Amino acid sequence: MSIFKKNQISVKREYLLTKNLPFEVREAFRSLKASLCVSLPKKENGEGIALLVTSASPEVGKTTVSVNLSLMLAESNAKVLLIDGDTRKGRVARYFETNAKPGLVDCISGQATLEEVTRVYNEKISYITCGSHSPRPYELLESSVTKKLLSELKKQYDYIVIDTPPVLLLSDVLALIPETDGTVVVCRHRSSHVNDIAKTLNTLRFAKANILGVVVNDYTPLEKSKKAYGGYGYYARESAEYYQESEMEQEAATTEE
Amino acid sequence: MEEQIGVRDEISLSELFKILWRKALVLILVCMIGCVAGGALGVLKTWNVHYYGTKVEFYVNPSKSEDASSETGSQYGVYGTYGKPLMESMVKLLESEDFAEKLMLDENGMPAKKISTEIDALIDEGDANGALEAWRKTEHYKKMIAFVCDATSYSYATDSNVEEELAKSFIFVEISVLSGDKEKGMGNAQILLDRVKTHVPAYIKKNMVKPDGYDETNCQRITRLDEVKLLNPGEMLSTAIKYAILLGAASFLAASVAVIVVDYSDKRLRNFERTMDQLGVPVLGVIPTITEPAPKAQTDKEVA
Repeated sequence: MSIFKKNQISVKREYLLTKNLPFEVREAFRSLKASLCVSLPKKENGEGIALLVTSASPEVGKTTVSVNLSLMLAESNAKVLLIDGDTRKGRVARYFETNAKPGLVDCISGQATLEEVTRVYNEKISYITCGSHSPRPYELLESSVTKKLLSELKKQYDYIVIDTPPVLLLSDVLALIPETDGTVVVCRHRSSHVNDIAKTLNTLRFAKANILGVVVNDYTPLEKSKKAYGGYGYYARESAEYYQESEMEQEAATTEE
Repeated sequence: MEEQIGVRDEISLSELFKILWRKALVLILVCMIGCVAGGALGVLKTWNVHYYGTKVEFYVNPSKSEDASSETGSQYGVYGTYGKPLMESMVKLLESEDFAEKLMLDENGMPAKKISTEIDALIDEGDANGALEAWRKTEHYKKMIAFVCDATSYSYATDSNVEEELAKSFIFVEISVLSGDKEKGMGNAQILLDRVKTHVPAYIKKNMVKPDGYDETNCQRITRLDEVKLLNPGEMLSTAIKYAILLGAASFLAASVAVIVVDYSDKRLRNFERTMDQLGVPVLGVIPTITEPAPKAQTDKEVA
């Protein structure tokens, strides 16, 4: 019986933060946003905050975290720009079901203007896809054009979330570190290797990155206890259901009005 | 020089327990397999292993001639402090092949040495068949001696630390015949018992050292109900249980060690709170897995 149940369930890897998503997931992103806002308070000069999202190895959910974190940041009435900094294998375009070209590479190389590459998802959130492939992505990202572009964007947006390639595979991310205010390392529960994470953190520290912390993606509690997230204390299922009900009631009331 | 971030391999008891608990089913299965294997080993080890025999007790004491014994008037042994060395030397004599030969003498008619001499004589005479027959008898006889030595064991008890008049000395003979066949085992044990009853008192009387002032040694059989019986009833079950417990526990222990070693060699991120604590970075967020029903496979009907 349990085998059938297991086979009927699949894991969703790519998703956008919508109201159809489970309550726990939305709350997890909200909690992540809160942690980041506490770690990086708004600047006195009014400039936006540039966040770099990276990982040790590929396929850990960096883009999922970047995209949904941007959506969650936009919910706080902040103007958010999501940049696909993974110039070799950018996936942001897939989430928004659009073409990756033109994008960041085209803008830096002067083949497209900033206005051309900036796409609007809604009034609060815009995104820049990776664009065309570049033979020298590191050199492109560390160029003065990129620096100028980011400082310009910081004036226009409250948050700039840059999705970057894995640290241990590619050095591209190191080129962007000086232009960002904080770095978030994404790792996948039961998949990412602890030694790889340690190496990544060492590399980032060496590059003088402001490591804000780690986001554990794809967390599945092992103990099938009553609490949804076992002994870690994240959102007991009963409490989650209670708050979910209350949220649904509020939604219904808003619709009636 | 900045301090390198690394993960220390710390082992906590609660973590070990959690690891074992997660693999409880595997451990129970391995333990059960170990128990079954142990039980089977125990059964195989004791299969058709039956010991038949009994224990015979002899009371040994020196005695004086009629005139002299009336002076002491003691019914007890008088070896006193000499009891232990005397009994020890007597038991050694009883355990010797010489006495085993004596026990089996009536069965074969002649001792092994004599047969060997006969073989040499027959070879000299050129009687090959006779020599072969004699050699077979020798081999058989040697086997009989070995059987008697294995099947009989001797021990003693003596009150060496009490007053001479009250000191008592005993010699115990244990007969234990190993046989898979009940009738054969019982029969051999009975033959041995009969011979022990006859030969042991005579041998002790003849060979026991007599203390000064004593003329002879008395040896009386005390046990009257010395029936031959199965000595190890239910041994198969007890051995099987013992082996099942031992092997079950050993396999459980080995499986536990294997589970822990495998778990600790897996360096994937699991207990992230502890790991990040060791790495010195905070956990900003934990995004749960989103599971959803798998899309139904399109059937031919639906396609049509």
